Amino acid sequence: MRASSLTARVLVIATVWAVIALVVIALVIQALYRTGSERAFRDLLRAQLNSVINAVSMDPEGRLSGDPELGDLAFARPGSGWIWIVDPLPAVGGKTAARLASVSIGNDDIASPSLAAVPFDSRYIRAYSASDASGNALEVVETEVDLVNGAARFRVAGNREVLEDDVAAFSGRLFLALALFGIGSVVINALAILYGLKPLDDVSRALGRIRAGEADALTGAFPREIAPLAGEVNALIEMNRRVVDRARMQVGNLAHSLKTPIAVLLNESKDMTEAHGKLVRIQADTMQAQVQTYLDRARIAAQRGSVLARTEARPSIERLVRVMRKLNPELEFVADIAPGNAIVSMEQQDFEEILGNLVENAAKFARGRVEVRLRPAPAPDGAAADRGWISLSIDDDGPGLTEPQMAEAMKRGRRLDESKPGTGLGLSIVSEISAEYHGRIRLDRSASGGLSAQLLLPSLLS
Amino acid sequence: MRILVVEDDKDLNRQLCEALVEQGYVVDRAFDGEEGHFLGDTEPYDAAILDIGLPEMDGITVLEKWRAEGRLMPVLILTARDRWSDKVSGIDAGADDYVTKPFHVEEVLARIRALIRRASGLASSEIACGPVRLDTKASKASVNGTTLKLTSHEFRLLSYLMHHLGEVVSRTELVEHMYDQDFDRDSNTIEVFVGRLRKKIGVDLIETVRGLGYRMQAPDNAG
Repeated sequence: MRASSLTARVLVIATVWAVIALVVIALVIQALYRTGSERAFRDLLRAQLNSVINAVSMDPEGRLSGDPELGDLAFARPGSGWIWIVDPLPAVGGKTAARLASVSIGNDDIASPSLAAVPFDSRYIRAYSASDASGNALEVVETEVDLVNGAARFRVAGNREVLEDDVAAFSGRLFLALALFGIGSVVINALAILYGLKPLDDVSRALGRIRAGEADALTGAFPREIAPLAGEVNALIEMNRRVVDRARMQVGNLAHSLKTPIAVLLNESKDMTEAHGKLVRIQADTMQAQVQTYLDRARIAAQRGSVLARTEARPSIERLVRVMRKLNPELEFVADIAPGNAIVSMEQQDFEEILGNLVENAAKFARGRVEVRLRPAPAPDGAAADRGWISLSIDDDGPGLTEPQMAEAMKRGRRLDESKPGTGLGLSIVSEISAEYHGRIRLDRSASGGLSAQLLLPSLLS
Repeated sequence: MRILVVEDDKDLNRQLCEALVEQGYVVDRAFDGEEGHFLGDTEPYDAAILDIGLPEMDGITVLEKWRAEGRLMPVLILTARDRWSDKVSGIDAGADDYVTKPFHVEEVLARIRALIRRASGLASSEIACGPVRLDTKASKASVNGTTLKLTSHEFRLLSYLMHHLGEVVSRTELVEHMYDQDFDRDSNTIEVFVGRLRKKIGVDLIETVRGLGYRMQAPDNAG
């Protein structure tokens, strides 16, 4: 896919947007989940703090007692990171009794920040992060309570690892789900874009066919958005064709209109003095050669690429034979066409031109009989085997040509510029035309000793 | 032999007419399709030379109308279009032969001669009747090998009769085929020409068919 293609552009934009949107969504959801989890974690710690406060009492001597049941074995496991500690606060001038703490803390302590750094909130609770001797990251809630016989500082700590594990597990599942969703979106997008833009590809292919001469208009049902485009393209093609046709017609008309004055000059030159007459004749002949050359060029340019052409062989051959019989009543013309419904892949004018020139040639030299034979034929060497071929042979019973004469006749006029109009066997135009259609021509000796012109032409055998 | 030339180019028309007259033909000329069609439809011609590209009415239409109206004279078409499809449509419209432009007038003369000969059912350019021979190519007549000295009127008369050997040809028909449309016709002059021609030939091959006209035929066919 080209970088500048519409498909690629839309696909890149859609993909970039999907990735950005999904990453932002993932981050937002993750942040929200973390906030929620932390709040729940602190609520749990606060509830445990209350349980500890309710379970601990202080006797008049300032000794602490009580056995808080927090329903979590982690408080009894050393180094678990789940800790509660009750420190008796020294009364003014009194002595300090021993602290009460969960098994998990052992003889260690948690380093608490100063009150200036983390003050108590309105409910006289403060929360902060800390770490224990085992290196666990802790979330600590702390309060101070007056226990009738003295005050005590209550602290409950939870292992943040639990919180982080929970958030990480959630994030993992979230990212996996969003990644799958993202990949799915990109694939669906790509399919939608490819399907949506397929008509444009169709247009491009159809235009390619037009340029290759395989079609002459954009056909097919196009979506509403590009139907006007197709219509405009067709109108443009049609206009282009009309302009070319008009130009070609005008060249043709100009060339043909010159022929009458040339005829007048040629004929008038006979009444002139030898030198003048010769001059005029030579110039008129040159003019005629030029006119013919440009007419032939226009003709060949016109037929170029007309691969869709189809001409029924039988009516063309029969029409020509009828005409030749009229022109040469003393000759016998035979048309042998099999299969009768053969179709030649040529413009009718071109097929008739080939046929007309060859049959006229044959009639010129025939003693009594000219035979036109059409048969299906195998594809010639090096030609596309996917199309049909026909062989067309035109035989006369005239004097024929020798091998060197045949070679010479085929050589002459191989190139348009070298050919002289009105001379030779008319084979130059025949081989020019058949070459345009990838046909083959060769000369041979006919069964009756005359000349046999044999053509292989592309065909649609219907 | 009377020929119609329909060609809009004045110079080409003149050249064709001059060459035809030189060959002993009587020629009428037209410069557009309407005029050409009218002449061809109302006057008897032995052949017509018809350009395809004509003003007013194109040559193919003129030809089709003639044929539809039952005018059967041989027609030679002149065309600048030399593709076979063009030639074939011309012939299909009823032409008997074609010459593509540019051409030498001699080519047209040869084709016209061949068309007239073919229309008369003759195979060769030389027509023989007993000792008399008519060379259509050279526009000459001879008796026993001796060239006859004939005026243009006498030649036309002999030529017409020899193209219709064995047929009875009326005086009117002879007048129509010997003079162009502008000539002040008098069928009595025909008798004078026939008399002179008989004298020059020396052999009595032209028979007067009372009340009908003349018939020329070789002695062994006479009966």
